[in-house]
Amino acid sequence: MALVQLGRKGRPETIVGIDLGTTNSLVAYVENGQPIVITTTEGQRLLPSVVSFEDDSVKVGFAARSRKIKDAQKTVFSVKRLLGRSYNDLKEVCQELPYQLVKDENSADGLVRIKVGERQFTAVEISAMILKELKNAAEIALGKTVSKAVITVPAYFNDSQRQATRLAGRFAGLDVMRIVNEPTAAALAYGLAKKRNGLIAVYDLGGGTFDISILKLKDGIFEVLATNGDTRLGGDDFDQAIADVAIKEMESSRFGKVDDPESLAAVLAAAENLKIRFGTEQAAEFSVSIKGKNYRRIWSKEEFEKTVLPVIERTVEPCLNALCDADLDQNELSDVILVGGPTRLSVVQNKVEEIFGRRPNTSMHPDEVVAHGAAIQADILAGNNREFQLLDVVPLSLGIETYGGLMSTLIPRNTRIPTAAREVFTTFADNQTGVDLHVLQGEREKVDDNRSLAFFKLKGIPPMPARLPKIEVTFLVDADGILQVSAEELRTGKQNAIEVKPSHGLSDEEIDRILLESAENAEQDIHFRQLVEARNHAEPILITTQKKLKDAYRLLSEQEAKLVELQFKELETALKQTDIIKIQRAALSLDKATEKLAELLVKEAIQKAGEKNA
Amino acid sequence: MVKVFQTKNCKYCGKELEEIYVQRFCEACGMPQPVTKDEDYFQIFGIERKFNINLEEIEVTFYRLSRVLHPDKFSSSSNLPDVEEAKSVSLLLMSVLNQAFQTLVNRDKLRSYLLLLEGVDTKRLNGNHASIPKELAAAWFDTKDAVVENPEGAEAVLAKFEHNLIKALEVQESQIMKFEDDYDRKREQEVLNKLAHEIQAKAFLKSISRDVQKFRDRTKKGLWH
Repeated sequence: MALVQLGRKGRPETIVGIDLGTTNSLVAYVENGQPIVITTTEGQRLLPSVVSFEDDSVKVGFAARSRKIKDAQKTVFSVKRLLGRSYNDLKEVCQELPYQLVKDENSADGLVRIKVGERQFTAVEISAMILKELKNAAEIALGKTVSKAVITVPAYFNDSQRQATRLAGRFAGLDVMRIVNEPTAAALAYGLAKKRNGLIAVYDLGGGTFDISILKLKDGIFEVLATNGDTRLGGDDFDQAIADVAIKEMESSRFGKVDDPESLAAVLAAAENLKIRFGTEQAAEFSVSIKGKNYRRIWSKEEFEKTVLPVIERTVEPCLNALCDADLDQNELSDVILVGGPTRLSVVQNKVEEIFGRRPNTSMHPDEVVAHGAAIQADILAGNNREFQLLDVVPLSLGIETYGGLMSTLIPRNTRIPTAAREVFTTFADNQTGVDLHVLQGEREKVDDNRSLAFFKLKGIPPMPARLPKIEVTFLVDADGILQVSAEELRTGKQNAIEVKPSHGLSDEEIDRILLESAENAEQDIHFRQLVEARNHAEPILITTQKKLKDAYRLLSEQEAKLVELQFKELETALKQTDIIKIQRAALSLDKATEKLAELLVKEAIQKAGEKNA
Repeated sequence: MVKVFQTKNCKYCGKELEEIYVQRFCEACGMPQPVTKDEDYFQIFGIERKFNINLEEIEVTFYRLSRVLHPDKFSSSSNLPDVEEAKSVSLLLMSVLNQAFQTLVNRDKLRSYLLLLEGVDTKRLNGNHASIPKELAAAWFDTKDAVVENPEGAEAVLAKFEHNLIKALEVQESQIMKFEDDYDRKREQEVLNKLAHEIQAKAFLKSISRDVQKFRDRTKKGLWH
């Protein structure tokens, strides 16, 4: 309405929290100290982490998920399992996926690419599409540009996987303020909700990854004591185990071979469906229809549990290792929190009880708690929450290759981050000006059994006789759990140039190309931004008019009042659509139609004030 | 406990910093203060250099410093004299603080760290192995022979040896703690040398303990046949 200006400009930028999951993703923010999950443009709280390609258009979310069977080879799901991984890492997974993975022959470490028709994408690019969708949802909901985010990752993600996640954020136009470990985020949400001190375990079994973290909560400090996990273990493996049983049965009956992508996708979807049903039911039907033929069979809960138990058993060892690293007995824990969809299953809850000797706490929402935590961390970074402070650890040991193909550890796992380690290197030949370093991450002795993070070349060492230079290399792990390396020649105090080949597999040129492409897509973004701005301008007019509709009938002629109501309704309708011009026109018309009313209301207010004073 | 204070001035605005937690964070201009190379972990926590430290006090200080110095606190602040400097100082500061905390609260790490500060490197001691319990070492050789000769009776033999080993470790630990108490009271270099040898002896016992575990694993896998 005309007189009332709701200033929306100059408000501090909101940093959102994003849970980028294997199966589903969420975006949340904190308002008045409480985390709120943002509804997506599909009107849902969850965005399935699925991207589907149809001719020239890209679909993300439920729209993409519904094409998982129909267009299996062009529908990419569970892409988080591929992030920061090479083709060789993923050989087993390749066979399970209905979409096609290819090896990038150009990249040194054989990065995996996803082939969709004639096009190829990296896992980073697909993840960026999901993030972009969440960013859009947040911008619509908050009515302003969102360019900063906290993104969660499995605690057991290595450096490459973290870097890949950060790069995906960058591709989506997000400044990633912090990478937070998922179980730690869940602990933040728990801490906000329960306000309790004590030692807790967070058992986080997601779609594709498993994490266990042990934390100490004390007066707003969230100190991670130990973390462990398995980045290839999750709900997807439950589906696969069920699908394996089903396929065996189908092939031994009249079905024949079940091995084409569409059929596999259909069986996996049916398996997932069965698993979800067992979250609440005692028996469920496995039902799939392939090429006009139907296959169905009732599963008992007992059979289901027997099938998935081997997968759940794999969580036991990481839990025991984490307790051991934290130097704790299970009975010292004051609570065990469950995170992730599969923890709804009683067979999982029973295993957790067996491991920790206590009934797990099921009061936190297993799908939303991580997004809540991400939003709380975002609020901390924005400087709004001064009470909470996270103190996290590096999940895997960091080291360098030494003689004989062995890894020498510089930073042991579960070291608090940020942290730094220094090591002095020298040369072996006279006038040698460069030294090669191979940085590794993992717990095994042999280099080949660990993850290769990067090859560094120390350059610009002043020419000196062999063994004389002393090059001090600093390995710094920042609060995101990401490694930064710097070097200095101690005799000359000269900073050495370091050439890094990051192993998310994208070269600098490629990163530039992708960023450029996203700039070309900016036209679409500009339209979107204008829409957001138009809505922002119109909404306050609509809201204030709504409050004064009764006054319109009291103060204006019936004809004038009816016009106000008519314009009000028109703007209301326009706001539900995406036509920018229509919104702007309707807002202008309503503004005009309420001018007289505004004047009368002001007069009335002055009069009332005068009467009061008199 | 006596606190070790050195009065300092803010590197950025020059204001005098007094309390220990303020020394790392200037309340006047908001800048974190870098650690200088000559500061050790005890000074960072504002405590006296000794073996018997108050762990609760360390934790309280660690949490209090973390709350104001963690990089989280500098990620969105725009009204500092130098935002980029604040970010990089806080990153390095927090990494030193983390290492200091993890060293001080771990008895073994604290021991080697304090000895190293006093010029005794427990990893590079040579010569005098007088404190290594020779009887136990001999008993371990006999036990190993017995296990290889008769794998069926291995567990009983290992358990018996381990019982003695655990006792020896306890004795060794109490000996170390006695020397530590001595040092905290008298601060004599001679005590430190004795202590270093006892620590070395304990490390030797620990390595036997790991060997026992290895032998047990191999027995379980039937590797002696």
